[in-house]
Amino acid sequence: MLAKKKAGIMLTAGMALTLALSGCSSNNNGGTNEVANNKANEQNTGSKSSKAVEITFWNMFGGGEGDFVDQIIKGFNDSQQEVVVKQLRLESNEYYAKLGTALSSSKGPDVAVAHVDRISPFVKAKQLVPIDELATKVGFDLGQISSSNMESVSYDGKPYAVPLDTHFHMFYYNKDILKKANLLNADETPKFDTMSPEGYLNTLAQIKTAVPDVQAMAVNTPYFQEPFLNMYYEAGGDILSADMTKAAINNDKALSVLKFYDEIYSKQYADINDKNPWDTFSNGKAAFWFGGVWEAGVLLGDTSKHIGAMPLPAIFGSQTHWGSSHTLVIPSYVSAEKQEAAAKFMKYFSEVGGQTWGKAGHVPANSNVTSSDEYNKLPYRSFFIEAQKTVKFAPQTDNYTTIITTISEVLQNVIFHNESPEDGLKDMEKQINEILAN
Amino acid sequence: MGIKISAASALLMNEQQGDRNMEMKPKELRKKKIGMQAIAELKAIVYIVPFLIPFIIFYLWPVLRGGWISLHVWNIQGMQRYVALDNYKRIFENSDFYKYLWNSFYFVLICAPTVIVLGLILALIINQRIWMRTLIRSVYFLPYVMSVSVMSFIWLKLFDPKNGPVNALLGLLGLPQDINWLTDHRFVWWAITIATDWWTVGFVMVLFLAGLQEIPQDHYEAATIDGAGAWSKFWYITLPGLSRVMKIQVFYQVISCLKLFGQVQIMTGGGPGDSTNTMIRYIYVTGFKKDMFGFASAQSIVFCIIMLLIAVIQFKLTDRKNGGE
Repeated sequence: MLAKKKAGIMLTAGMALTLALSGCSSNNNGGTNEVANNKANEQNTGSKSSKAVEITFWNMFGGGEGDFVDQIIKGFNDSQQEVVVKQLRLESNEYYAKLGTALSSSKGPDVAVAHVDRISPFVKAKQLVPIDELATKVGFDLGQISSSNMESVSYDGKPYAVPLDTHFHMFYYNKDILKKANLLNADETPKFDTMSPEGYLNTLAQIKTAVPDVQAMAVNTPYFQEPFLNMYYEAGGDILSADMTKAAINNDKALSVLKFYDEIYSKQYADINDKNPWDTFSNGKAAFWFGGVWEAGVLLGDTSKHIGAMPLPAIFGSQTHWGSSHTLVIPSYVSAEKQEAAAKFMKYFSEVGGQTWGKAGHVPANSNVTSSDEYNKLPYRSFFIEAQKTVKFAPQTDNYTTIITTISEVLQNVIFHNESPEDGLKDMEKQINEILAN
Repeated sequence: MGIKISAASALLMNEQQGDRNMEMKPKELRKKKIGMQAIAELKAIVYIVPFLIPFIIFYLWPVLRGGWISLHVWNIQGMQRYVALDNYKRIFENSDFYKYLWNSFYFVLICAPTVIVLGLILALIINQRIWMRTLIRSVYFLPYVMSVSVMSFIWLKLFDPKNGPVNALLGLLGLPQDINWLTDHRFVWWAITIATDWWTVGFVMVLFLAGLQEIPQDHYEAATIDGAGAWSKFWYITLPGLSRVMKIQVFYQVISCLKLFGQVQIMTGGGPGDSTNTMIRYIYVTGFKKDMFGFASAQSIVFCIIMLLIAVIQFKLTDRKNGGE
């Protein structure tokens, strides 16, 4: 009887262990919001000869630029017979969790998009291949790409990625709403109060009074780190100290930016519950929007939307604002044959796709593209080139992924009032210092 | 499962064999007994092997390796350095740990009882000889077939404050203001509970249904003759008759609620702020998004031990109720 009972206990314990363990390990796929977007490619696959090398391309282009990437991939697949690109589009908030896992487990994309500020740990872990020799092999002259972009992806003198663009935020405005609020100049630019946080809030108040059924400003609440960093950089702030050993974020500048946004939410100029502010603005339900250049194709391409763009106004004093750069990388586990195929795709994306990419709104890194007439004829592009001059890139640290995730998390707590701005900044400082110390 | 049972019955057979050998001489007997026992033991082990191998490869080895990683600073570039129990110390010094642990338990407290009660009610209804019984049963079970991502996306859309059907329905019923289901502290846990209940209630129902069909009909007949009402029948026959199923249900629901991840990851992203961040999501963010795998492994081990303790306590409690059988 006792033996039976013991066996019973063991059995239950075993079952419990199994359940508990699967709790630790499983369910990670729960967060996948993967949208395999292969429609365009599938049509081509059928007609290709069986010799064609098929490569998988991972990206996170879920914003307005998605359609343009589809066009580039289709263009590439149609232009030649040797390589077929299939893409997997992943949700951007989870992208690096997946890419990092793929790179460490040697199973995943043959070519992938990565932001310039995220590649350094991958390079140091030897998970990416240098692309100079591959470029020569497929006749891709890296000299076309602007030297500052090239430097940002070089380690020990070797380039590990092909920079595609520089991207940042622009100030988009809805002309119809501004007209109703009597805030549109004759040249269709917005009429601002004095250029200061108070002045900007006054403008929002005027819009709210005149057009109460829209948001005066759509704020990117789900990715709040972006609007925060834009204003914080304008105010002259930094994430890290100059020697990159300490957090430099707990200061009055950050506090004033947080209070500025809190006022925007609390006075209901913006709706904090809006989970898709980009759609809200695009559908004409908000007057202002700090939106990515990558949305330009959608927002400015359709003139019936009556949307205008300008560089972010210097609300907090300077024109400095957040910026980053998309690059293409090839993981080291990819076979030589596929590496070469991927390099061909990179060449096409930069040289030919660059024009399409420019239409999406990013400022292409390929200088042949930016100096072309075709690019410069696109609407508002002179503003883009102007705004590009004042971008501030992420601090060059291997820990950027960890740091920016920490910042995003604490910011969410602050804007939803789980933490006061003061405590939030203290918390951020403490966590970042811990990350840097480790 | 079946393999474990055959192992147990092999042991049992061994005991019976021993009884039969009682008549032999002591020395001879001892020798034979030892031999038989060894063979039986060996047999038992052979029977277990098909379970043991995957168990070792897919459960035990990862846990051991997780334990090893948890003693290091470990990131995407691999092992950095040995830090002994530092990661564990950091867990207990961090207030977030207690907050997210509580969130995980809070979800057990609101989700497990609701889903069990709802499942029981549904099972009782469907157990009646009602019209289109199979169809209704299938309809309720259907959501359980979905993956957590599909289910979460459906409810993400349903709970949309501006264009979601839930608020539209509530508006029709006369609710003056839209509820921000997924961004308001007061409603967010209920939104996740409603979604999860809808998803899993079919499974709970089916288990109860099986339990209900095991209760002998003559108990009810006898009760009817004795003049028992519907409530007394439920209270004194149905519920005790379901006690075995109920034990399994509670056990399973507690564990699966503690494992909450997919729903919050998709529907709220742990938000508003970190209000719905659970232990599993905390581990996921620490490891995969913050690239601190050593720290995340330590968190996993700690959470794993907590879950094991709960399982043991639960087992002990329910075991005692049953008279230690």
